[in-house]
Amino acid sequence: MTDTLTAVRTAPPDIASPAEGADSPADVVLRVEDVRIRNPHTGVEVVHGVSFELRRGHVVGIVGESGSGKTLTCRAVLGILPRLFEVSGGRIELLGRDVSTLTPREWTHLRGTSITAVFQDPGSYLNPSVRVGAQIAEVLRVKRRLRRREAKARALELLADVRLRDPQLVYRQYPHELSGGMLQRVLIAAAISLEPQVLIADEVTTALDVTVQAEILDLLLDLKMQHGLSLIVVSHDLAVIAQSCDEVLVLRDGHVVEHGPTDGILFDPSHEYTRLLIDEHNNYGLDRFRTDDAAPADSALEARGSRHVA
Amino acid sequence: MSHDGDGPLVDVEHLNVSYGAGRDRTQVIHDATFQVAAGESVGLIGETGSGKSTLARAVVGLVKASDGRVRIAGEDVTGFGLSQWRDFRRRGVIQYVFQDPLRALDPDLTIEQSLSEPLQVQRRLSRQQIRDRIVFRLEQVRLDAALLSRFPGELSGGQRQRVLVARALATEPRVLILDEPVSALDAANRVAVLEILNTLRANGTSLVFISHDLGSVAGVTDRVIVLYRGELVETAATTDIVNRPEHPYTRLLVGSAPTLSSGAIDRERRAELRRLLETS
Amino acid sequence: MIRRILRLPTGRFAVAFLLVIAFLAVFGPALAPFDPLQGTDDTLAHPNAEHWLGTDYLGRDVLSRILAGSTISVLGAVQVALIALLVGAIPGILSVYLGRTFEWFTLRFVDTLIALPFLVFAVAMTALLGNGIPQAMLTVGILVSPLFYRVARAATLSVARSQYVEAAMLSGASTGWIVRTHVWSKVLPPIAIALANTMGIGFVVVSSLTFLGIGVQPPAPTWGGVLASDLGYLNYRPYAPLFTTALIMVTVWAFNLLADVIRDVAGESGRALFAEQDSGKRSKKNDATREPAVASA
Repeated sequence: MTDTLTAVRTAPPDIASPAEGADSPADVVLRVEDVRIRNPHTGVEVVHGVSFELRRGHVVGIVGESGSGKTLTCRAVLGILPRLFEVSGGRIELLGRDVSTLTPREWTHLRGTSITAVFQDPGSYLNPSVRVGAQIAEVLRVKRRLRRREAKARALELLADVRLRDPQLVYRQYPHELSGGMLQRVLIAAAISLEPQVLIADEVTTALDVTVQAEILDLLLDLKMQHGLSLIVVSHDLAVIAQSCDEVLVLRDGHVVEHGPTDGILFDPSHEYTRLLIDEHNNYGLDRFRTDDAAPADSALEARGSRHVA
Repeated sequence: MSHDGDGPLVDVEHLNVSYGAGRDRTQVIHDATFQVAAGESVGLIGETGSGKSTLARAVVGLVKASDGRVRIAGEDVTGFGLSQWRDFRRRGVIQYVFQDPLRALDPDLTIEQSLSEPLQVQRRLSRQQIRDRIVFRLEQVRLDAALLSRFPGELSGGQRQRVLVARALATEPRVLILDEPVSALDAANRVAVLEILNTLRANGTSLVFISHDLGSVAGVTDRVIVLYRGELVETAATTDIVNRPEHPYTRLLVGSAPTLSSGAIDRERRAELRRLLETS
Repeated sequence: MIRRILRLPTGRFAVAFLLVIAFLAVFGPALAPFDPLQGTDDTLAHPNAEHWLGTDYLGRDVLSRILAGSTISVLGAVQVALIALLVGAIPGILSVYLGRTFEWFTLRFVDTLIALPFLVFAVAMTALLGNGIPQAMLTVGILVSPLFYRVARAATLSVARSQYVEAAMLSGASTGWIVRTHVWSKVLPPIAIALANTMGIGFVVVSSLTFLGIGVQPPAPTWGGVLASDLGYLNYRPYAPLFTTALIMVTVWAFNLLADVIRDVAGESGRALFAEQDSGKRSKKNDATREPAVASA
């Protein structure tokens, strides 16, 4: 922990400080109550009542395919619903404040400092003609009023925090020079740069190779522990959610068809869609081959040494 | 389906593929050797840039190999010229299902026209016979014949992918190569396609799956070949690959895949494996 | 394709108008009520019952001159378009298949042509090659061919590297089959559009050249020539330039309109356009309400 970090942490409370009285350890940082989203021009409702509570330091998972309403729900929580849609019912409380009462200016202040997100296609969230380090530094200069040199130093720290092996090198690179996994780390670095309390990860690993996926998920969970982040992880893959989340919501066509603790859902799903997802892994995925007690024999291999077998 | 002979259906020996010339020459595939037996289902697994698609393309002649030998159904296709490839392909022994169904179907042709193409090119069947065949194939992939008059743009992603499989099956191939067949699909469609492929497998068609994610195709494969940086680093029965992986990359692969049961290895192990891979 | 063009009202208008122009080109001179070269004493007459558009400074019937001059204008425009098509499209398509060197040379050649001002060059060429519309049109055709080169090349490239062509190859399709089945339908619409636009350009070029007196020996009637002589006598007949100007303008506009229509009805956008229309008709019959597509969440 550097001095800068401490300084940022103890900065005077900004507009988005939690409402008075909500400072118990298990406090709820985000409360979504029966949120409904619709297209006001056609009157068609696309999200039919999503509810969940995100507690500090916890991870909530949302499983859903495209068209299920998962991204719209995330966008509603961030206040960035596309103009075509509006929240037509329910309530969203971020750090104790009802977001429908927020002015655009207050929203702008909240975003990044209290709640932030990382999405699926990292390349499209970065300016292709600016080096990535500068883009992170820019966030710090604008939002935290850091000076150029401080911003650069902090950005380098963040790049190290997201476990990029050579932060100095990455700092100077353009987006097209980085792989998908590295780009996603850069975006995560930018996302945590303002020390938010809630991070939404919407299909962040979907376009990445499976080996890189695991690392990114690990990174998010580590950051959660180190920084006290609360996470919302969104994915179409139930296994990704199962590995990282305490609590799961399954969305289908805008409805929450399943909601509960992860283990409960996996062992006793109540909806057939959830069962479909579970069966898919059990019939076609690695779960089919794993015997219950098989740790993937790494310790056994240690003894043999790692020979390459062609 | 009966198979003649006891040789492998696909026999690749010491295949090398490189791009560019002189200073810019990059070797993409190093000395690849593997076989696919009749009726066998094999997963060719590797990360992006490992060369898995290139390898498959080299086997079917879309990419020129710089060295090595490829035999398909007993016929040596190495060094085939364009017209030889054309004649061989018209036999319909080996077919390829592309990854992106939107780009693999001509947007200006109806589904019927796209499906009929492999059979029309063969010039063996009458129009009515072709129509009967493709309707049968559509049923096989659980699509309605009403889709024949539609254009690809009017179909959903899952339907398009199934059309691609139906098109590949038109000539009753003995080997089917599928490049990420389910990655772009939602759960219901994934299961449907995997079930169809399983049925094919039961009927004796050899399948070769190309994927970066072992978890997506493990259940339909008998054997797995792992490709890392252009080299085949491990090959074993799927069960063995999953439960007793040996090569560091295989261990990393198997350990990274998210599963419902516990079994993924933890972060330290993964970091260790990566270090091992770097130094090897 | 033609059927689809005729489905749109703008398409019907453009085709109808251009057919009229073509008709004039063929039958114009025969339809002229008076001998276009025959001067009379009735000079600079205003439009009347005998001379519908009046007479020019030599007493020649303006309507007859315009009708007679239509042949040259249309022929000139067609010449430009055809030459540009042949000189541009064929190398354009070939450049995709004939290897790097051919591609490099043709691209550089084409880039050079683009840099040259075609009207000025055309004038210069007539000085060199002789004073005639065909020579001028040949020059302009060559100078305008880069458009066809680029259009044909781009269309062919997009098809040649596509996966559906690979899939066809994997089924053992011959090159001829691939061109007939896949390439042709993609290359034809852009070329047709370029053709329509180029004919419009050709029209303007012919009119400009004949306006300057280049390419035709007076007293042969041309639209540009009529316009030129009209401008000399504006005090007497100030409205006179309107006739030829309007004619040239509307013809060029019809060509551009046709190009737009082809663009709208070809390919994916064309199917979407007609699908909307067809389902709109269907739903009016069934009185069903349509819900717009919900954006994916």
